[in-house]
Amino acid sequence: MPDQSAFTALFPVKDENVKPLQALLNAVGQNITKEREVLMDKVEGLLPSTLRQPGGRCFLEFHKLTTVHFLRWVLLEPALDAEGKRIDASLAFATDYDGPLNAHIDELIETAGPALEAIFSFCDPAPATGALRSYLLEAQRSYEAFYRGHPGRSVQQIWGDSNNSEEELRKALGKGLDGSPQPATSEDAVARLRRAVGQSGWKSASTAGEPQKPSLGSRSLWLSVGAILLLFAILAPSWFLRCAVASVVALILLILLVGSWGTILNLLDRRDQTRERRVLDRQGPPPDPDGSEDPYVSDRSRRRLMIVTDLENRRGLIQNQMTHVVNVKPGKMRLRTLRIVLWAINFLGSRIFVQGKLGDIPTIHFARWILIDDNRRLLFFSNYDFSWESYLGDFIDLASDGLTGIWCNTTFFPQTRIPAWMIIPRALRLVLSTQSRTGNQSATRLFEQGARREQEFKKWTRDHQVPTQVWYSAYPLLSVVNVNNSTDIARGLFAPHSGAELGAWLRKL
Amino acid sequence: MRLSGASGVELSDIQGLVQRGYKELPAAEYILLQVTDVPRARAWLSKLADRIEPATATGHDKADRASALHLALTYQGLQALGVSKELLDKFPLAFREGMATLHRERLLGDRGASSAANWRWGSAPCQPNADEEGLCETDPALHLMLLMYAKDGPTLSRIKKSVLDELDISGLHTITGLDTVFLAGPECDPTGSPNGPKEHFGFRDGIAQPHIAGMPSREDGHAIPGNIIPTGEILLGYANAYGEMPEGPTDANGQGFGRNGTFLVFRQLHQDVVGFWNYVARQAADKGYGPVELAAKMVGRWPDGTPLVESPTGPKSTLQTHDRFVYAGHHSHPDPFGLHCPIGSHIRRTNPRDSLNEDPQRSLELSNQHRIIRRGRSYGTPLVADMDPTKLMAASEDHAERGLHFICLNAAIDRQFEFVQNLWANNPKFGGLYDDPDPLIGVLDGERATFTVQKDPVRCTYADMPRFVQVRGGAYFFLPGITAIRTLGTMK
Ligand code: HEM
Repeated sequence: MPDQSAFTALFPVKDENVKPLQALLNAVGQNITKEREVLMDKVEGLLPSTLRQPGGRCFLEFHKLTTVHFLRWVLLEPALDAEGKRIDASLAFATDYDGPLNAHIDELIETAGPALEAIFSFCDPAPATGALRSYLLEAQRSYEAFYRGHPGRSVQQIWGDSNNSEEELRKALGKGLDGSPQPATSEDAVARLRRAVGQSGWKSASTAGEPQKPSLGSRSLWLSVGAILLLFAILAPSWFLRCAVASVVALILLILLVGSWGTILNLLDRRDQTRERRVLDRQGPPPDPDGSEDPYVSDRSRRRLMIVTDLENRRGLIQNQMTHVVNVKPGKMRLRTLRIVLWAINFLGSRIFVQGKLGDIPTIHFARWILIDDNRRLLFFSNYDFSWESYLGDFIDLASDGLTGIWCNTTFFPQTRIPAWMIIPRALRLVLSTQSRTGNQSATRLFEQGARREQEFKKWTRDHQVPTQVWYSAYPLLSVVNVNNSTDIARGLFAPHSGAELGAWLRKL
Repeated sequence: MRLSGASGVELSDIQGLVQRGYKELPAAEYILLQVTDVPRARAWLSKLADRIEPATATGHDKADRASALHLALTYQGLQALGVSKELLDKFPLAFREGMATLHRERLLGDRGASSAANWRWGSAPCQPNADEEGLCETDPALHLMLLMYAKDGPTLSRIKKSVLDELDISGLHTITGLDTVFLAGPECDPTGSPNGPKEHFGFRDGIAQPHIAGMPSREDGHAIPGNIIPTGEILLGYANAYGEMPEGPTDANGQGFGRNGTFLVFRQLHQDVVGFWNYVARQAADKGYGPVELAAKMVGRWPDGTPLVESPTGPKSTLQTHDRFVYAGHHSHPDPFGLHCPIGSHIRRTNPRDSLNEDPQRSLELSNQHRIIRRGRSYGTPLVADMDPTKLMAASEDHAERGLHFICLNAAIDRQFEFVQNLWANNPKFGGLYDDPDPLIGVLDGERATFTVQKDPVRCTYADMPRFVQVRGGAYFFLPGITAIRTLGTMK
C-alpha cells in the first residue's frame, strides 16, 4: 500500500482578490461543523455569483474524504523579500494524504470539485471549467523536507468509522476490560480481550506499512561493525592501517570544509544583520491589501497576533496547526546551506525518525518545509499536538539543533554563532551519546544560541506566523502517541507474547 | 540599601510571600482595589512600601510575627498609576492581555459556568479586535490587590480596619474582599498539632514547593537537589532555566523596575465537594478500591498528605509532609508505570518530576522548567467541620460557596502556570492517556472524561467523570519588589 505523502500547491492571487478570498476562507474555516462539513448558507454570499449553486445544501463535505489526514488553505498576503522587493500574494493549498496522488486528486475533485472551483476562482488564473485536475497538478510544489509522525498508517486504519480502525479496536478492547470482574492474571486478561474482539467483528486492517526499524539505533549493529573492523585489523594489518589513515584524513578534510563553510556564514551573518535593519528602515512595511497600517515584516501588531492565536486549539486541546513564512537571507551560500540542512532533516525524518518522534518530539503528525517565491521564502506547515507553548518548548528543549540549522538561514532569526570548526566533532559526539543512551544529551549541542534563546525564538516564531484560515483534521481527537500506541495494541493482540512482553503490551491499553 | 543573600538574591527587596506561605498566620484576606485618585493613591503606596513584609533571611522573627502585608497590581493598575508606556510594553504578553482572552479561555478550560463572562470578579472577557490596544477593561477596573495575613481573626480585623480606614482617604475604592479559611484535619502531625491546612475535598495541601536557588531553604528542611530551580524561574532580574533574563521591565543585567518582582496568578476555584465524594463513592463500588483509596489515587497523596508513591497501601504519619521523592527512579520501589501513584493523578500531572519521558534525569530537568510556587488558601465553611473523608462522603448537599483561592507565583506565566493548567492538567492525552483530564482541576475536552488507575495485570478506568472545580474569578497580577512599590509611589 502506498505511503502517506504531502501535496502542496501554490496559486497567485491578484491584490484586489485578497480581501474577498480571505473572507471566503475565514467563513469556510469557521464553519466546519461537528459533522465535518460546511453548509452552503454560511458561505453563499461570499462566492462569485457565477459559481453559486442554488439549492445545494453543502459547500464542502470533508467527512467524505477518505484519503486526507490533514488539509489546509492559507492565504499568503503580499510581502517584501529580504532585499525589499515585493512578493505578490498567493494561496497555498496543502494536504497530507494516503495512496497515489492521482487517486487523491480524483477524490478531491469528486467530493469537493465545486467548492475547489469556487475557492480557486479567486486565483490568477482561475481554473478553466472541467480542468481542475491539471490545474491542481500544475501548481504543485515539491518540498525540501517532509516528516510523518505515524508513517504507514492510512486514515482508515487510524480512525475510519468502519470496524477496522485501530481506534475502534482499542475502544472495543477497553469495553471488554471495563466489565467486571477485573481479570486476575495477564493470561486471563488476554483471553478476555481476544474474545471481546471476536465479538466486535474487528478485522485486522492490512499489516502493511510496518515502520522500519531505525538502522542506526541498534547496539548490535555497532557491535558487529566493531567486530568486522577488529577482524580486518588482525587479518590485514597494513590495509587496515592505510584505511585508518585515509579515514582520519577524510575526517580532517570534512572538518576543514564544514569549518570554513561555517566561518564564511558567520562572516556573512554580520553583514546580513545590518542589511536587514537597513531594508526595514528604508522600505517600511509593505502595502497591506486591507489598507490598515499593520507593520508586516516583523513585530506584528497585537491584532494580527490575536488572529493567529484565536485560530489555535479551535477544535479542542488535542491538535493544532502552524503556518510559518520567513524570508531566506540573501545569497547563494545561504540557500545552499538551507537546502543541505533540509535534505539532511528529510533524510533523518524518513529513515531514522520513523517511530513517531522527530528528534525527540513525540507530538508532530506531519510537517513540511517548502521553498517558495523563487527560493526567496521558506514556508513551514505543521500539524502538531496540544498547545503552541508546548510545541515551541519541545522545539527548544528537544530539537533546537535541527531548527537552528534550518532557520538561522532566514531573516531576523535570533543570533546564531556557528561553532564552525566544532560542528563535526560535536556531531560525532552527539551521535555517540545518543547511541550509548547514558551520555547526558542535554550537554551536547551543535549550536549554543539560535533557538536556545528561548524568549527571542518564541517571539520570532510568532512574528512570522500566518493565520491558517481553513484547517481540517480527519481524527482531531487523537494524538501522535495515541495513534502509534493503538497500532502497537492492534499488532500485539494476536501475537505470541513472553511474560514480560505481555505485561508491556497490557500496559498500552 | 538592598540586603543581599549569600548568592546575590536581594531578600530585603523581595516580598516575603515569595519565600513563605505564612502557615503560622492562619487568618488571611485579600482585598481588591481600584485607583480613583492617582496622586493620593501614590502617596498611600509610598507609605505602604514600609509595611510590606520582606523575604529577609531565615530565622527572622518567625515565632513573633503577628501579621504580614503584601501588594500586587494588575496591568491596568500599573497603567492607572501612570507607569510609562515604554515600561509597560516590556511586560510579557500574557500579563498585558490578562487571563480572559479567547485563546487563554480555551487553554485554561474556562468554558460554560467557568467562562470569564460568568466570573464574579476579575478580567472581563476580551474580544479580538475589540479596540486598537486589544485590552480588556473591567468595571469597576481591578487595579490592586492587598494580601493580609495575621496570626488570628482579631489581629486580622485590626489590621484590616487600620488599612481600610486609610483607603477611603487614599484615592482607592474597595471592589471586594475575599476571605479565607484555615481547615485543619482530623489526624495529627507527628508533632501532635492538628494536620493541615487541608483543602475542601479533605486532602492536606501546601506541601510540595520548588526551592528557589539563592533563597534560604524552607523551615522544614534542606533543599532537595532535584527540586531547586534557578532564581529567574520565579523572580525577574535573575537568570532563568535557559540562562536568560525573564521577560519584563529589566535591562540585560536584570536591573530596573521589574527586578525582584514576580507574577501572581489568582484563580477563585469553586469546589463541588459533594459531587466529588459522590462520584468516588459510586465508582469505587466494584473495582477493588475503597472510596478513600480511589480519591487518594486521584490526588496522588492520602488525605493526611502521605505520598502514594512512598506508601501505596495507606497513610504513614511520618510521611505527611514528605516531598523528597521521584516516581520513575524511586530508590526502593520505582513507579515508572503508575502502579503506586497513577500517571493521571493530580500531583503527578502538575509536577511529573522524573517521569515525563524515558530518561529520568532529563525528565527532571524538563519538569523543572514548569514549576510554580503555590500560595493559595481555602475559602468558605467546610462541608464537615473536621474534614474527615468518611463524614464528607456521608454529608448531604448544602450548595454552599466554598473552594480554593488558588494563588501561584512564577516568572513566565505562559511557560509555567498556563502550561501546567493546559498541557498537564486539562490535556486528556497526558502521559499517553486517551480521555483523562486531571481528576481535580481538569476540563472535559472530548466526549467523555475518565480516570485511569494503572495496576497489574491491566488498568481499570472510571468513566463519566464530571468537572468538580469551576472558576469564579481570576486575574494576573504583578507582585513587585519593594523598591518598585516605592517607585510607583513617587512617580510623577
Ligand atoms: C480546587 C483546586 C485544587 C485542589 C483541590 C488542589 C489540591 C491539591 C492537593 C491536595 C495537592 C497535594 C498536596 C501538596 O503537595 O501541596 C496539590 C498539589 C499540587 N497542585 Fe493542586 N489543587 C488545586 C488546584 C491546582 C491548580 C489550579 C494547579 C495549577 C495549575 C495546581 C497545582 C498543583 C501543584 C504544582 C502541586 C504540587 C505537585 C508536586 O510538586 O508534587 N493545583 N493540589
